[in-house]
Amino acid sequence: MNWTILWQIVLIFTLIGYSLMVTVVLIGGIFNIRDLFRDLSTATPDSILKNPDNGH
Amino acid sequence: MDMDIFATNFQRIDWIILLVYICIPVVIGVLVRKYIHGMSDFIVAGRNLRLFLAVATLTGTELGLVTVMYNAELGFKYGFSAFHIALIESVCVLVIGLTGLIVYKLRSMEILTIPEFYERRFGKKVRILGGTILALGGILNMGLFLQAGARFMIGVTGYQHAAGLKIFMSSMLIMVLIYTTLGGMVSVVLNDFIQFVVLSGGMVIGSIFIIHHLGWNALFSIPETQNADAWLNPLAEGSGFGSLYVFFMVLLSLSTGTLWQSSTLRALSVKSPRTAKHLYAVGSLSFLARRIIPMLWGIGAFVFVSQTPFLLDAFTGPDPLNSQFGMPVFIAKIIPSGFLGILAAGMFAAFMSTHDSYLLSWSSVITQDIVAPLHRRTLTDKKRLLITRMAILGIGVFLLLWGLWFEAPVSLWNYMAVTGTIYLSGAFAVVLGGLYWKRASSTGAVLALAAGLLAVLGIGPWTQGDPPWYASDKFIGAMTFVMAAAGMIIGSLCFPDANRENAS
Repeated sequence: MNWTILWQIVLIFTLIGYSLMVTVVLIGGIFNIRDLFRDLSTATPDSILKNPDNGH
Repeated sequence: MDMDIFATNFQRIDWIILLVYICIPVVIGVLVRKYIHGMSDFIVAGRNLRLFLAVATLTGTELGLVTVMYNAELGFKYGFSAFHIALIESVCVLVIGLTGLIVYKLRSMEILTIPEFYERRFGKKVRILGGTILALGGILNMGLFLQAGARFMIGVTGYQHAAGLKIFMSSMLIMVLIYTTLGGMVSVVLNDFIQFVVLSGGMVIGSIFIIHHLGWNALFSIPETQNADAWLNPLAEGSGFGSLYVFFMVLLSLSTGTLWQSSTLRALSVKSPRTAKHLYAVGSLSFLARRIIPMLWGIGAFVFVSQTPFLLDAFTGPDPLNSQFGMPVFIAKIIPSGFLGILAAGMFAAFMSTHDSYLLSWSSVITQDIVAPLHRRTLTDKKRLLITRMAILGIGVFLLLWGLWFEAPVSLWNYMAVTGTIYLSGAFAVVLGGLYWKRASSTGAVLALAAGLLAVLGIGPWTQGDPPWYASDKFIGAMTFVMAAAGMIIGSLCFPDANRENAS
């Protein structure tokens, strides 16, 4: 087995695959964060009403 | 070139970037506070995390400064032959993702921690024993985090002082303790995302710098001081690995993937058992990258060192510098100022968040799985919090003393592997038996968990240098897994549970 070629393929695959994954997660993650904030700002503050430890 | 080993491109602007970056988690915590109406909001948001944020959080958790350091050291010491560890781990995680081994069933049972499973399947005593061994293995496992983190910062910033390691370790520990208190749960998701982007982007760009600086062919040429076969082939004699090591890595990767506290917690908190499988399948690429990229940096560092006589002398001479310094000293010289600051800041933030979550994780195991079950009356939340805080402080003091006193006998990764085995070997046998074998008994579980303690022998001074096969850390590690499995099988066959219903 040619170890050099194997490790070269593994290295190239990792660098390209991971770069693509980081780009996709970056773009998708921004949309996810927008949705997360939308969920949080529209949520009813039940926990404030239900939590007896809360002084409100 | 300056003949100073610690000459660096790290300038005043890089210090400013580092300090500003450290403040980001606190600022985010203040900014998002208005969106959080209570803890439940955060938890609900956490349970409904969409795929991309979930991937970022998983990678953020599994990619710490210590991960970068131990993999870089492997590359620096053993060359491309170390790549096999990354390949094994990635394939094992993919197999877990495709088959759902352990995680699918645990998620279906709605288990959140492994000791919780011990109690449900084998009773309270097994939970207390399992929790104690988990805490012992986990705390020992993070025993060298502080030391490795301080070495990275010294190497990158070029800070030279006789007490440099002590100063960095103490100040980093104080910052971690403050960060643990201030950071809280609120900003975790956003910080993980920023950390994922900065660290992953930095690692890819850093790799391009390294390949560009050294040249593709030079990177793959064998350094003169190294044996060509051993530098590339993990099964070759003199590579430092061999078939026993490969066997140990397969067992370790399967058990880490399914049962290591931090990653399992992510998998068990997702929406459904199917999503848990998907997360592992997608995550296998992250597991490959978190090892291959730092290993590449370590290999690049050794190629650079072997081209620079005074550095080669410093690392391979009569009083050699610790091999963990190889990668940081190298990147401090080839990565330009500005980008070096961003990279160091990203690594430092990763160091703090890993420490943060591990401190919380092990201290809560002490409270929930050891102290609380031993306590006759139910502990109040206030008392639980007090015990957790005291445990955090106690672990912090231990980390400082252990890091100043103890040196990994073979390599940082081997230390991590063997200390992880203390918990993983027993847990793997107990959970595998508990889930897939009806006759598995609580005596078998106790024997399997106790067998894990044998792995402590793997960090003894006898593992250094060129030990006989039976005293090597890889033999001790692999045998601990075998002994734990034997304990589970023999204990269950000889001492079956009288009434399984009672036990569970």
